[in-house]
Amino acid sequence: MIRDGHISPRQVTAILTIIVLGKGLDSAILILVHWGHGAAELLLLVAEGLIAGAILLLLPLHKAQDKNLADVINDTFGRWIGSVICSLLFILLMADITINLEMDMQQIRMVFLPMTPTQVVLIVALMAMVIPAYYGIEVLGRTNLIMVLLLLGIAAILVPMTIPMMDLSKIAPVLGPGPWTLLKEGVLHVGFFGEYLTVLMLRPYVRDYESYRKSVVTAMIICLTVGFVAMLDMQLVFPYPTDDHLFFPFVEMARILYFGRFIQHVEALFALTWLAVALARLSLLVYILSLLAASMTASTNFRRFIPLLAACIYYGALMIPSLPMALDLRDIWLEKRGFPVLATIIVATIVVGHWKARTAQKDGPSDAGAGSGSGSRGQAQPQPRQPAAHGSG
Amino acid sequence: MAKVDHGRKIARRLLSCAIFGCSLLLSGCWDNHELEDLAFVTVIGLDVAPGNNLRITYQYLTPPAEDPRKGNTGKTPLTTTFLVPSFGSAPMIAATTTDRLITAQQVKALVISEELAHREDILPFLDGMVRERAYRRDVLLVTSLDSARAFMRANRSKLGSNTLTYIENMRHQHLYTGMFPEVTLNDFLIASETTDQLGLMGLAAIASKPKPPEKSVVAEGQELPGSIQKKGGDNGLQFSGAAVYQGGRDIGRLTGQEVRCVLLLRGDIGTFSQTVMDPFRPGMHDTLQVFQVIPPSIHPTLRRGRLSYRIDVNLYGALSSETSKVDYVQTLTSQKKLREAFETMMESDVSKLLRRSQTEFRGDVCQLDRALRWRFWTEDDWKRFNYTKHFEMARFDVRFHLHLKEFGKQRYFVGR
Repeated sequence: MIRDGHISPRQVTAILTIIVLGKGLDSAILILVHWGHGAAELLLLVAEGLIAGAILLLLPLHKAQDKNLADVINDTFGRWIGSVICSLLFILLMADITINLEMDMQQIRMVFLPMTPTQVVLIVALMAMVIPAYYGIEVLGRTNLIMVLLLLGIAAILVPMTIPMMDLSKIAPVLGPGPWTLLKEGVLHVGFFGEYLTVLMLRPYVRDYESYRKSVVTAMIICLTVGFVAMLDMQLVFPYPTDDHLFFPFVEMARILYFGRFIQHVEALFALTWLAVALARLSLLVYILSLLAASMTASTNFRRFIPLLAACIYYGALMIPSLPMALDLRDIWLEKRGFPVLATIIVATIVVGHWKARTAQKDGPSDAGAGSGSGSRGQAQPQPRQPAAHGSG
Repeated sequence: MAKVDHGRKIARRLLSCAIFGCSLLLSGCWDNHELEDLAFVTVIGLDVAPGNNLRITYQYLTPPAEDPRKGNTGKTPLTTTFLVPSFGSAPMIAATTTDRLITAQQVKALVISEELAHREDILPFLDGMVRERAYRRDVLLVTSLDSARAFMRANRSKLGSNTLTYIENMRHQHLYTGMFPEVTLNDFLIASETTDQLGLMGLAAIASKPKPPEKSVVAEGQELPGSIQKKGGDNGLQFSGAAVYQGGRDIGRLTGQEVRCVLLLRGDIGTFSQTVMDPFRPGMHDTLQVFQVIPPSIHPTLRRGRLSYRIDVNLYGALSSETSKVDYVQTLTSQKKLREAFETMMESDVSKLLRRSQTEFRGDVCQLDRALRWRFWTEDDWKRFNYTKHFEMARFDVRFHLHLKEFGKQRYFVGR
């Protein structure tokens, strides 16, 4: 078990909410608009609903507190196959962080620093990501609790502000590209919400399984609701195809808010919040990536991987030539072509994991160690709190 | 052990400093510009130029020269006109004449000369605006019947508004007159990108010289800007009517009264005063203050491939003035007659506008497609339907319903 602190269920909710919602504020959201046409929010519901269902099926395999997703995969498939699967997840997550960093960096340059060289923005952003990740889960948990309040607070202010700009008559044909296309694209874009998987890496840091499950479900409901409202808001301000033509729809939406001559440039409020949330989110992803690396190498110290991973992310982000390419990379490679990989991993883990857990249950409570572990009886074993390991391995 | 703790404390402090430094750097504290080093462009004008060039005019905000306390009567606003190969290269060429950093963050209006909009597709110029980070999508768009540079130079308010506040205030005038549409860059692009609507842009001009001969005014809003009869006044500019755009090309004009009809059908008008020919004493004029509180009810139906609309416009009215000396306050039958006169006039105006839209512009200026579009299940169904083709053949049943509620402070007309 990787040694780090403990977080509260509320912090789990905050972390998951930031990870999923934060992505919606950069250009990645355009993938849903592009394939969902005037029904982008329905595509979001389909894709997010599917991955949420998969996560809910994966959750019972994580009843044992001492096992994260990588441990469960290793237990379920054995060391060799488990290592291959974890490597694939590692590569997918690494690519995801790299592409997200590129998207966020372009937005930083557009909003704040148009004249600053890419490398400088990248290094500064990487530092802001790496340092909180180094501090560990307790710091990240507390920070994200503040961040989620900030994000939801700003959303609660900005959405009502856009009401005068909204026009219900701008509603496009309800099913957008058609029900079958929506369903197909929803399935293909399940990977858009692949970050949900990261919550399964956080299981060892929450003591009680029930509260862990509840916090994940709460986060999913928050993400679905806020995501739906945000997409609908955007559609009513920039109806399709205008929203498909923009790179930064939420920035543009904040930029057309106008309260007269003396209160202008309200977008600064949005931009600052977004910057904080984006960096908190990327920081979390770096932390999860380092956890995955530590799990794969059976190391108890995740911190030693962070500098190396940061270097890989830096060079990976520099390799992406532009924002359109980042969008294409995410859409085509990570989501459409990565979908069979991700879906196979999820489905195989659900099927084999549950089958093993059932077999173990039939064999007797004493053997119920693999897969669902002691949790197969629905009870998590109390674990002694491990001291945070700074520099130990 | 104590040494290790001390080392950790130092490391944490260093990390905290690094995080603080990151936040400062990312928020742009290292490439700031002082306010006095900036030149704020507030209005941009586009005119025809020889070749594939563009004549562009920048109007700068010059607070000392336009101090309202000085009356702003004598000085022309600071404008500069130059020839550029493209919209994007304009700031660079403008920068050759000033030591200040030119910024477009305060651009409030884009004035396009009608001549340019007739000749060329203006969408590439607008694309240059929305692509550039400094421009906002709430910039007001205006089509000028005169050249944009002449129009911008003529912007001098004698009441003390500076050039920027004058334009900013004018954009809200539609809420009181209904004769000038407040069309922003965002509105125009949405209309252009849907392809089912025709874009509108507010129309403006310099009051013409010499003055046109005075003639009988039947109702307000029938004339185009520049030919509205007036002497003196605050500013030499007139804002009334709209230019109609198909894609990025100007294809026609709407008068102020036609713009009112468009805004009434869109539900975008606040209040306006409307002169009505008196039903009892022809030649006499009554004025009603009209309020639109609820948007019109628009019911499209499709029977045997033919589109028809039933449009009900509900308005509230108040009698502002009358010259006929008819007792409208106390007599319900008189009120009914006045209401009917207003409703008939507006129905006729709207029908004429819709007929013009069908035959002359061959497209929808009133955004009636929005009442129909959501009834289709998919985008493909909507595209296959071909709205514009159906609109050209559509039938309209327009009915106005005026609820005459107020008669001002006066019970009887003066001198009864």
